[in-house]
Amino acid sequence: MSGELVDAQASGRGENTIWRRWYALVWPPLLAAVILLMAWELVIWWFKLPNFILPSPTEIVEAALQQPRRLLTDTWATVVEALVGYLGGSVLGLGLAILFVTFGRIERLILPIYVTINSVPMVAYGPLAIILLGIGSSSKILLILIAVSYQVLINALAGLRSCDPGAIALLRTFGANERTILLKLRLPGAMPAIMFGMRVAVVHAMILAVVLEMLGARAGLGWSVYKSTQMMYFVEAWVAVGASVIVSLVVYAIVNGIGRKLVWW
Amino acid sequence: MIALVALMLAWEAATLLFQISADKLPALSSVLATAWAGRAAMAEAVWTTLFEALIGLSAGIAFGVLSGIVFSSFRLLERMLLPYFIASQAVPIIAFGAIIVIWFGNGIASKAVIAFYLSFFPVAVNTLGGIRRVSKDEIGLLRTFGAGRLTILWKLQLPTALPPIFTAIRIGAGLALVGAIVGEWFGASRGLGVVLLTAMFDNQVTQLWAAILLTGLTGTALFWTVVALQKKIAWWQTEV
Amino acid sequence: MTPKIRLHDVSKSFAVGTRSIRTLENVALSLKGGDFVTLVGPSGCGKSTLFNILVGLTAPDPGGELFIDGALQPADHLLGRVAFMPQRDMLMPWRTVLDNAILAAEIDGVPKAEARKRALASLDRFGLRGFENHYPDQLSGGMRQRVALMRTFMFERDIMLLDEPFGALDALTRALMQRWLLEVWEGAKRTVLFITHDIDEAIFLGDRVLVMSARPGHIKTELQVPLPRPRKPDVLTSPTFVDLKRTLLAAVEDESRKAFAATNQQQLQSGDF
Repeated sequence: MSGELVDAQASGRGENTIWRRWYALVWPPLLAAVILLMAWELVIWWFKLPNFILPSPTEIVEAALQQPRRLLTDTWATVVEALVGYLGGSVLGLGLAILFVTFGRIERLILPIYVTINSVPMVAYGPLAIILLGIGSSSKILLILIAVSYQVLINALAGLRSCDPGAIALLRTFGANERTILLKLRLPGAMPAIMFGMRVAVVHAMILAVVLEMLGARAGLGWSVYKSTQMMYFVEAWVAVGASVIVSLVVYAIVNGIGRKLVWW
Repeated sequence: MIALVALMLAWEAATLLFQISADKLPALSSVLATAWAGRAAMAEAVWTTLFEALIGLSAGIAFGVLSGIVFSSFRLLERMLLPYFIASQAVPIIAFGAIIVIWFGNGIASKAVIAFYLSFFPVAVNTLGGIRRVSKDEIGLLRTFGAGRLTILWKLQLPTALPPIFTAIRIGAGLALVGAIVGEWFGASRGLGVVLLTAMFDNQVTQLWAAILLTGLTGTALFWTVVALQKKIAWWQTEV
Repeated sequence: MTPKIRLHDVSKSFAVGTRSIRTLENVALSLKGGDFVTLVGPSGCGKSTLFNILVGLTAPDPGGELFIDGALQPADHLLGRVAFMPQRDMLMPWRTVLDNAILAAEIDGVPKAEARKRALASLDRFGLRGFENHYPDQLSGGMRQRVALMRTFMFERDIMLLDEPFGALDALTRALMQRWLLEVWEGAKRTVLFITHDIDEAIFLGDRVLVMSARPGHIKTELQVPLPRPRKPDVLTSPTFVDLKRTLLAAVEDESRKAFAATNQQQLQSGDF
């Protein structure tokens, strides 16, 4: 409650408000995280839990600092897979959406195929991708690309189609052709939906990358989790898990931030 | 429907015409034949995974709806606990399924736990959102009829929340299935995940495609079951 | 003198299911250059269809003719000839007030910089000075309509069609907007056709008032408004005004009752309530 009051008073003081609002948004979850970590540490210490059940945060951080290069290599591998698949998938999804809206016939032809392919959970294709493309990153990137493109496609289609027909008619009275209507009306109008799809997709992309690596990979956070568990190095497994959580949050925050810049209304 | 049949025919035709090697894309006919030949085992696998997913999903729905209701009534609890709910989804439980198996064993429980973890959040969020959709005016009106808190919840807020809850269940069902399958990859003896994994290690591409098809069918069947339930229970608003 | 715009024998039927609904029947109207003509009619009389034809979004049934400056217009040449302001402002939430105002001109081919310059110069006339960088959801209903009107005026065409632009505003704002619209129009002298439900508004604004009949719509009555311009607010209670209003009310009431009965009949037949 008091947070809201401060905002109202500070509004009109320009730059100051942005800082205050950002600050107000960040400190509660940060505080919660700190409390959680402290509680976690306490519980382990109090109950003397063996570290194959649950290691303490300090143990995890220590282990992470002991092999930083490997952690970075793994993180980089996973991030590259996720991002390449994500960017490629977004471009493909958006491109297909625009294509479908412009040429209904192509949509009727291709969309059902796409829907059918994606009615199988992408993880189920994992084993097949490994057989066909090997354990390198291409198998992961391909599946991530398909999954992300589908997510973005569905949301973009909905956004592009949710246009007010009255607005379309009005633009036509100004002499606009279909291309102008697409660029000036449909696309901007669809941005909120597209950004929604892209936010959801980036989380999926990270999770898919990690999970698919567990089936087989040369490097990566998921691969690290799998290997560490096999060899009973549980703390290392938690290091990789922790890293993937942090990376997911960072990537999501970036996409969210970009989203706020692109959709200001 | 027509598109599906066309797709199947295209698959069969493509493998014949383009002579794609059978260890990349076997003909639809041979995939179906393989599936049929092992139908007993396949059926058991489907049922196992489905069972794991459904148990997790049911628990997720129950917990999600309950949390949503509690949060809608007690703002303090919402402010305290909702951030943790959100944070829980940032943690890719699916990534440390190995640890889940250590905690919960190799059986159904670990898979159900993953399924639960993945499905409770969308349900909780949509329950809360759905209940909040009810305007103060509507609540006020019922109060003038003499309705108490529970009556308002039961007769107004929950029915209003039902359509979004079903949307969340649709999403949760898909996630639960994925959770069950991936959970099996960490340690299980039966289930679709096991079939997929085994086929991969044995390089049995036809078997693999058969499993993929079955997974897709299971997921689709689950989805349409939820939609059918929604049409019966919350018939006044069903958008797919 | 050649009328600016003239319709002759314009009819329109729509197929609805198995039936054919005759929305317009032999509509004939004529506007001189610089006229401000208002159109009143009951709901469902085909006003929107008539506007869609005038603006080029729909074609009249064969036999109907539309002349602009005496030249017959083929149906598919009309889009972009007439400046149209629909009932809802349709402002784009992602564009500032300034960019919304230049939208029609921009699509028309006017370079953005040039259009922005012209718009900035007109801000005072439309009462939007200081708001050029605001977004639509920061504006009141009246202001949004002014932005939409500015957009319509910046689309430099001789003929303007306004479809109940003030319908969603409260009575006080509406009165202010009516007076303000007349001021702006006096400065620009375009030919205006203005649709409204409000008889007071129709008489206050127009040189002539056309009354449309219930479906199938045609121009039933035409009334000259001999009130002097510029119109002052007190004209609303002058004897001439009241006389005109009496005549119009009778004409419109008649048609409204017919339209109401027809809708009830139709709903009973088709079974939807």
